[in-house]
Amino acid sequence: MTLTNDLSPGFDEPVDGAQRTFRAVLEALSRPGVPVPLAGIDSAPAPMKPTLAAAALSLLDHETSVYLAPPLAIESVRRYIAFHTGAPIVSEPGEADFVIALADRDMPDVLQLKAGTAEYPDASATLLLGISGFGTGLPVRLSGPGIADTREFSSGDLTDDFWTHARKNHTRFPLGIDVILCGPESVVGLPRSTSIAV
Amino acid sequence: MTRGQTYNFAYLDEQTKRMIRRAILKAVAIPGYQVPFASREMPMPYGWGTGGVQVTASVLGHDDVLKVIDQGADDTTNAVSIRKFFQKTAGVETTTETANASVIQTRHRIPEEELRADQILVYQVPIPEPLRFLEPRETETRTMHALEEYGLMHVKLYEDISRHGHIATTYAYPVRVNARYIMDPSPIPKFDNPKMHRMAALQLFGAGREKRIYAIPPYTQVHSLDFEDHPFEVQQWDQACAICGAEVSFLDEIITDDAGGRMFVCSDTDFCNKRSGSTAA
Repeated sequence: MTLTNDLSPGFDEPVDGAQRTFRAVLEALSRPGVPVPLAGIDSAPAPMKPTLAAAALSLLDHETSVYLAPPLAIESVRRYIAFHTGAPIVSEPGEADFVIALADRDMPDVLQLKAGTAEYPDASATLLLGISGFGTGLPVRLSGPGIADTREFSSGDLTDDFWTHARKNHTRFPLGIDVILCGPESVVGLPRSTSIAV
Repeated sequence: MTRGQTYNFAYLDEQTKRMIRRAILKAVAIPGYQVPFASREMPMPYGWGTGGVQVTASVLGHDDVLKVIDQGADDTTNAVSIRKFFQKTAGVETTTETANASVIQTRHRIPEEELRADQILVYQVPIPEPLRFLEPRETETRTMHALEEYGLMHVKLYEDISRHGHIATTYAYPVRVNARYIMDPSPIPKFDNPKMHRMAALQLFGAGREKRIYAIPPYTQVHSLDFEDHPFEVQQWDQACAICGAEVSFLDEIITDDAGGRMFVCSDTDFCNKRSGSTAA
């Protein structure tokens, strides 16, 4: 048996790192569409993005199943997630509590993910979605809880299909999934409660 | 303030915090829905704010400034003991001034001073289910929430009117959040209900014994239930505060002797101190 030491480290400071990341994600879901600055984990294995890795390490553990979408379903990322979180990795996106994906490649269908039940709408999936940036592409107008009036948001990575699905996701409220967009230096929340107009 | 080295930051272990944090995120995404969570036993009895303490412990970071109030006051037993708990286990800075706090844990009041977008208000909740005294079975209340079957609550308020001539509920007055879930705002006086509506700060609710967490995101509609011919009203007083003279705050009645003497003073001690120029508390 050979020991390999190619496993990348997690948070520099596990307690502080997890807390700071959670607060950024909490702020993001509380104020949908506003980029909240977040220092990621730079050493995470590619193509995992630093903020995506931070969000995963702060929220996942042995109690949460996770699905890794194709570009991330590689040995280095699987080992990274398995070692740092202990989360069971599942092969069906529809069974996962957390789905980790990249917006520009092989994104799973939002409407196929776990949406909860009428009695337990919290038994639903959270999509952690890596994107390359905000502020480009066609803007959508967001409204709902966390937004004082309306708010414009755009990201060139998010396709028309994504927004169509996200709108359908909102119409089944209180069921649905919550999306956390993980950009290069910030995170943006799109909870199921947010209404989306093109 | 340095913290005791024998504790993890803010007392709870990291796995517990992660579990609570996930529940908080669901609560924010589904405003007013009570998310079940695996509430831990805390080093204080149920009823002393174990739910609020667990939420605060999961949210708190090194650079937070914590304020704790009990019925508006910073210097009553519950507030003092919880403040000391976090001084000891998290070493965070604490304050009694509403404007200086980034996290405020409260038992049964909302501060008079308007809260800002960079603040979080954590409520201690005894009974999170607004329908519980009307329907004791959890399976039934859960179905009622799922089906938005809230007629029973209106019947209860109507019975108040038929018996007393007005809605006699004065605290824990039920609200509807984001036009969907009916929610118990915890036993705050109904005087505070309007402050919840479109508040700039995030509001988190923790019920330790009942194992539920729920939330109101910023700027969310919070409607106190009422009828067209019996609109929602808050308490009013003929007196002003005997210490600071405020006419807009929630007043406590204080008995001063055994001969019927009494005075009315602000329940929010920080608000009252600021107005009267006192540096106490």
